[in-house]
Amino acid sequence: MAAPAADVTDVLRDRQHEAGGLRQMAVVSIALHAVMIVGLTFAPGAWFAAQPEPRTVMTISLGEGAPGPANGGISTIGARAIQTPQPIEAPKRPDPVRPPAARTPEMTVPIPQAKPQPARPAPPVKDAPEDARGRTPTRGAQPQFGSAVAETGARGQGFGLSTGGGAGSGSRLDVADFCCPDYVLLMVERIRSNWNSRAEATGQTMIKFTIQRDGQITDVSVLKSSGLAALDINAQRAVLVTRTLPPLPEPFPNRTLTVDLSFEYLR
Amino acid sequence: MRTLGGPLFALLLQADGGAVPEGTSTSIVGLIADSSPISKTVLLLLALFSIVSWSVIFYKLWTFQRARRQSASFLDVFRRSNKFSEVQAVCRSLNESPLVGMFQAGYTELTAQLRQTPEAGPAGGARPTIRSLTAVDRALMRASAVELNKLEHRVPFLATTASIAPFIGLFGTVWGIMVAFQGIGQTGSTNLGVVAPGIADALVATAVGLFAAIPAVYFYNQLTNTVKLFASDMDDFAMEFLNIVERNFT
Repeated sequence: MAAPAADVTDVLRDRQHEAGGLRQMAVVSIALHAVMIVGLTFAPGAWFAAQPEPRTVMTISLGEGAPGPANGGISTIGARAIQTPQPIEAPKRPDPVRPPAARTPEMTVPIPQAKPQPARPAPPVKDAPEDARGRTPTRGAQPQFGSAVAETGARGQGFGLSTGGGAGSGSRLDVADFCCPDYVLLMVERIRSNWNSRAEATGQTMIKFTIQRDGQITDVSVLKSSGLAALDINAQRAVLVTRTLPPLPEPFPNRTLTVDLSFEYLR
Repeated sequence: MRTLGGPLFALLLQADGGAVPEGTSTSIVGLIADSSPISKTVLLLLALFSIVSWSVIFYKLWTFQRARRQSASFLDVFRRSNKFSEVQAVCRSLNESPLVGMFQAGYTELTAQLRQTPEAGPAGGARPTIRSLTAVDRALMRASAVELNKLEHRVPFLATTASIAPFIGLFGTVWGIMVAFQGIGQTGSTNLGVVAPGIADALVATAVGLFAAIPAVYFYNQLTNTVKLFASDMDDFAMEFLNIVERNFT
C-alpha cells in the first residue's frame, strides 16, 4: 500500500500549489503583443486612412461624334447674355420753312459818267486738304456681327474642346462642376503634343496623375494597363515629359487635381 | 496599314479630396508618437493590462485543458480499478486534475479512519469499517474548496481588466481632448487641421482600452463557465466516492 500523507490537511496543502507555466504564457503574451505592435508600425498607412472618394468625376471624350461648330470654342448655349445694342434714333430734322419771296428791286438809273471797272481775274482754285473730303456721317458706335468674339466669361455645356476651331472634333462631355475648362483644354493639348499616338498596336491605357497647385505633375502611374508594356510606357512618358502645367486656376478650390487620362491607341 | 484616326481621349477628372494635411502621419503609430506624455502613460498602462490578461488567458486555457484531459483519464482509472490503492498509485501522474486532489483527501481520511480501528474487526476475514462517513464527506468538501480556489485563481483579474481598461482609455481620451481644446484656444483657430490630429490622437487611448477589455470580457465569461463545469464534475465525483465508501466500508 502506498504511504499516503497522514493528514487530510497535509494533502490539501500539497494540492494548493499552482501548476507552473504562467511565466511561459506571459512570455508568449508579450511576444504576441510585440508582434502586433511591430505589425502596426510597419503596416502601410493606407490601411488606416480611408481613401477619399473623388468628389467630382468629369468624363470628357474627344473624337466621337460629328464635328463641333466652328465658333472658336464659344457656343451659343454657353454664352452669357451681353448688352444688346440699342437702335440709335435719327436726329430730328427741323421742319422745312419756306423763305419769304424776294422783294422786287427798285428801279435804278445807270450813271452815264461811271467808268467801267476792270474785270478782275478769278482767284486760282486750290485743292482742299484730304481731311476735308466729305464722309458718310456715322451714327455712333453700333455693334455689328462680325468675326470678333467677346470674352464674356461664361462657360456652360458647350465649352468646346474643338481645339482650333473648325478643325476640332466633336466632343461629348459630362462636366460636373469643374470650374475651368480652359485649363483642361490646355492640359490635354500639352499632353497630346508630347504623345505619340501612333503605335503598332491598339489598346487603351489609363494614366493617373496629380497636378499640384503650382502646376507640377506628380504621382504618375498606370491606372489601367493596356496589356502591352510599350503602350503603357509611351503614354506614361507623354505625361512625364509634360512635367509642368500652368498653376491650377484660381477658382479651383482644392490643393491638387487628380486626373485619370485615358490614351487610346488606334491603328 | 495605318489609318490616322483622330486620337481618342477619354478624360476622367477627379477633384482630389485634399483633406489630408501634409506633414502629419496618418498611421496609428505616428499618432502615438506625437501624443503627450500623459496619453503615452495611459497607453503603456493599457498595454500592461493587455499583456497580463492575455498571459492569464493563455495560462488558464492551458491548465484547464490539461485538467480536463487528466480528469477524464483519472475517472477512467477510478471506475475500472477495484482497489483505491491502485488509483492512488496513478494519482502522481495525473496531478493536474482537481478530482485527484479530492480523491487524495478522501483516501487519506479513509485510511486514517481504517488505521484507527484495526482491532475493531475481531476476525481477520471481517470487513474493515469506518467510523464516520460524514468525516469523509467533509474531507471531500475541503478538498473541493481548495481545488475550486486553485481553478478560479487569477481569473478575477480578467474581470478587473474588462471593467477598468475602458475607463483608463476614456481618461486618456478626455485628457487628449482637453489638450486639443487648449491648443484651439491658444492658436485661436478652429481649423479642422488644427483640431483633428489632437482628437484622433486622443481617441487612440479609447481604442486601446477596448482592445484590452473585449478579450478579457469574453474569456472571463468562458473561464468562469469552465470553472462551474469543473465544480459540478467535482460534486459528482464526491457523490460517487461517498457511495463507494458507504458500500464497501460500512
